[in-house]
Amino acid sequence: MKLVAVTACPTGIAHTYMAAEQLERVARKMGLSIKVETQGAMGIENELDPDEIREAAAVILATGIPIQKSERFEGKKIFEFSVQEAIKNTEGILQKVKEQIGG
Amino acid sequence: MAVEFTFDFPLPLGLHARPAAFIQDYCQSFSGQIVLENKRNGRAADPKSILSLITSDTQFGDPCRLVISGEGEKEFAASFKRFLLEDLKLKEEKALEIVPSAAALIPRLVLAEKEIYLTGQPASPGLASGKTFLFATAFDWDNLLSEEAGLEPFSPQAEKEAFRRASRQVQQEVERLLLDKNGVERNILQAHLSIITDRTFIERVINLIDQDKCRASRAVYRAAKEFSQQLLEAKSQYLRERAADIQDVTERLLEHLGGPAPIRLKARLSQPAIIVAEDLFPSDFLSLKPELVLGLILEKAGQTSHTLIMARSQAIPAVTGVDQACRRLRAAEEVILDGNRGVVVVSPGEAVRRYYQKEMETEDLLRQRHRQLAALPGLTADGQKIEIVANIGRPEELSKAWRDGAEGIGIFRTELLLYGKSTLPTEEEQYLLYKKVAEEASGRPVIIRTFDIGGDKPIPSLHLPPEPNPFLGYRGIRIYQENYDLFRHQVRAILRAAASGQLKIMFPMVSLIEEVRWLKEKIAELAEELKMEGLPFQGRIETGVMLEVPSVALLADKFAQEVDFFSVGSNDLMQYFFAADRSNPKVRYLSQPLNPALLRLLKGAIEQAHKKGKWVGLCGEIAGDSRLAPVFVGLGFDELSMSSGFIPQVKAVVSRLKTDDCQQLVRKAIEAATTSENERLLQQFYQEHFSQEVISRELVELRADCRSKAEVLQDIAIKLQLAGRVDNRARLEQALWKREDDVATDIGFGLAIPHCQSEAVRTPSIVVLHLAQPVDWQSKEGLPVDLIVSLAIPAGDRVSQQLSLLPQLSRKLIHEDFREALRQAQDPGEVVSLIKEAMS
Repeated sequence: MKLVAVTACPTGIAHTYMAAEQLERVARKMGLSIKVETQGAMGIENELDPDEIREAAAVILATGIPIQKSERFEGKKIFEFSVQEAIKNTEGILQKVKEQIGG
Repeated sequence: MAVEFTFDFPLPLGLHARPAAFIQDYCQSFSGQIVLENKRNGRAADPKSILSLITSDTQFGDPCRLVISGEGEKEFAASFKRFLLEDLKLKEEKALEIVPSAAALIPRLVLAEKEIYLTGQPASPGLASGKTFLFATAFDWDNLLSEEAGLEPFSPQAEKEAFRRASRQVQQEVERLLLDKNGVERNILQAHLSIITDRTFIERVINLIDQDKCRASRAVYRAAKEFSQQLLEAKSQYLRERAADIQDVTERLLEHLGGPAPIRLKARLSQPAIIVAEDLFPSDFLSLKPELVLGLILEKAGQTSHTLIMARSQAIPAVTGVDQACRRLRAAEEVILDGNRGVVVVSPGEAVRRYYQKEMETEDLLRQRHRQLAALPGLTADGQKIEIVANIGRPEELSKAWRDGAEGIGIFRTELLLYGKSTLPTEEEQYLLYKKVAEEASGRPVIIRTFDIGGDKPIPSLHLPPEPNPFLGYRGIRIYQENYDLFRHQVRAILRAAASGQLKIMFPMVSLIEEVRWLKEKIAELAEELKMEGLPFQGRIETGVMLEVPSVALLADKFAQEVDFFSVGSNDLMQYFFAADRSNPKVRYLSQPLNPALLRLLKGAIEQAHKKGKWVGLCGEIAGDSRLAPVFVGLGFDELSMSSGFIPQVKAVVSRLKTDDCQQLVRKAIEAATTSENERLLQQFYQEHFSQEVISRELVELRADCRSKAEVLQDIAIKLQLAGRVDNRARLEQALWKREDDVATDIGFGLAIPHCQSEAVRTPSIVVLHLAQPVDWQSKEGLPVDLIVSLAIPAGDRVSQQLSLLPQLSRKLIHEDFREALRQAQDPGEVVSLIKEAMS
């Protein structure tokens, strides 16, 4: 199953990247494929391209602020969490996403 | 039949003056009886009296019972209940949104511990702990009570009538004032009105007249004293303010009752104390022994008032703009004065004491570093000489100036010699004093600025008429023609003293070429006089003018043909250039040293002066702001003169600057449209030229002894300032807290990552603490934290090299092996390498 995610937080120097790392790490362990875009103080990095979004079974938004370019995800199945949750309960939220999209 | 209901008191701050006023106001419409009973302490109160309500000592959550009887009791009870449980809370929340003083930075711990504190503006940095001494304006109850008029025979009827009449008059007076006031002033007046009409207060006064046979004035004193003491003893911010209101109203009532005027205390200071005053004239300040003045808490002094300038030069911490300080503080009360944050904490408890103990130790360490920097020469990195010199007002300040590393005296403000003296100093007195200064300078240059009298500097021995706009009026050299002897004695004294050292003479408030010509002509005449008299003197003395009126800046090329040097008085220049009274806090925002218009003016003037081979100094307050040093170097200033305490830091910055870089910065800055654009340019400048590694050994502490989250954040701020990466640790601490307020930054695994982007940060930095004992991070989960990795980034930084590497570190912190490596480190150096490695 392929997933995409965006992480973003108010200051954009810490949580954004921690959440990204944690999502990538735990997804790998769970045998899921995920690409995580970060929107932090450095701007957008590891940007998701339209093909990746189209192929993804779901979009995970782990954010504490409104994200940029959210229109890309129109019509997709979106799961929203706080950045903190994405760091502290990564396995839990990935499990939840997996169950809900019937993986 | 009465109606009653019970409720728990809903306001977190308890039933203090403001909600009491709301309740009183609400109950006025009901004609019947209302009794509020606090079931915790058994006290009953009349909701139609503010004083009665607040003395019921009702706290958050206290079980209360209301009994209501009279016509329409049912309807009123229902609406009153709704008011108490819903509207009151909303009203209170709205009122709390108004921050007492925007400039103050209240330590979180002070708030969390519910300490009593007063806020103002930071006016002179540093900390002091000690007892208060109320200077000049305290209200002396006991003296008032000992006064007894008693000429006519006592008649309770007549006294009560006199009291009612006075009450009515004061009420009318206040109501009239209310018509054209708004904001804070209006609130205060309304509070006054509610006291005059307060039933409990009136009843107490009447009662004292009837029972104790008090005359009206005495009854008013006594009632007011009773209530205000009760309020002053309460551990509540608001009740103290209310005590001030009562004193104010009492003064008004007494005036109408023809009683004795309140006595203003002016006692003598015999022990070290923190001075509390409405305002301190320079003469008041000078009358105090400096070693007994631990700090200043002032209600009204302007930031650039001479009292505060002197406080800064003597490193006496000060806070100004503290509303009603004289009334909210009692004499000999234990306080901590925080001149860095603009806060005064009253009788603090253990935790806050510990916090401030650490702050004071930090100040000591900063002072040590200060001394090392003082020894640096005033040179830029590329060898350009910038003379770094001191401002003084009294010869006693010389030794501190040399200690702080002054290379000379950029301005000796001689008018300070006149304060507190009933007569003008003679020529001989002045000669001896200037000679002493010249000798003590042992070859260093000293610029003596002739008397600048007028404006905010009234001199008792010189009877100058009061004027509506003193700053635009008769001051500085403008008064010399009419007061020729004052001028003559001073210039003769300077010329004579110049034979003993390197003295220069400078004139204040020059605006026309003709004035300079007159001054020079007179100097020549006076030199001739001295020659005839056969007295030793130095006739060839460098002569300069203050550049503080814009006309001099625009005509600098012409002035440069007449004078040897200029010195920019930035406070006055900004006041005249932006048309904004420097003592008026409402227009303080117009004091903008980085404003492009001002920079253009200065750049033009300095260029013109340099073309004619003349030098230009800066002796205003801003010269001491080390952050602005690149701009001053870029503008081409040859000399910077400041309160000597700032010299080491300015030298440190100047020694790292390259003239070319600074000039380039100024070329961009004069093309900007706004001050904030220039703030950004300056920040960029620091990032480009002052960048450092993100972490060093001094930013790491293993087995750190922090006992709470508050102490952790304090410690981070202290480490960053001691490492020279942060200018103002109080602001950094505040920024860290602000981020914690959004969501606490613990991420689990015993790790917290407090971080912020703040203007206080000079360069991206990382602090790592491993705590001896875990602390509660006050987050939802409430898990303990023992490892702290804190990130501090300059505001607006989106570009720097260090910033671009932070994401890698953040990602690394997710990995347990990395965290464990940090925890296992035996030495700060190991942590530094681990962090650097994670970011490479």
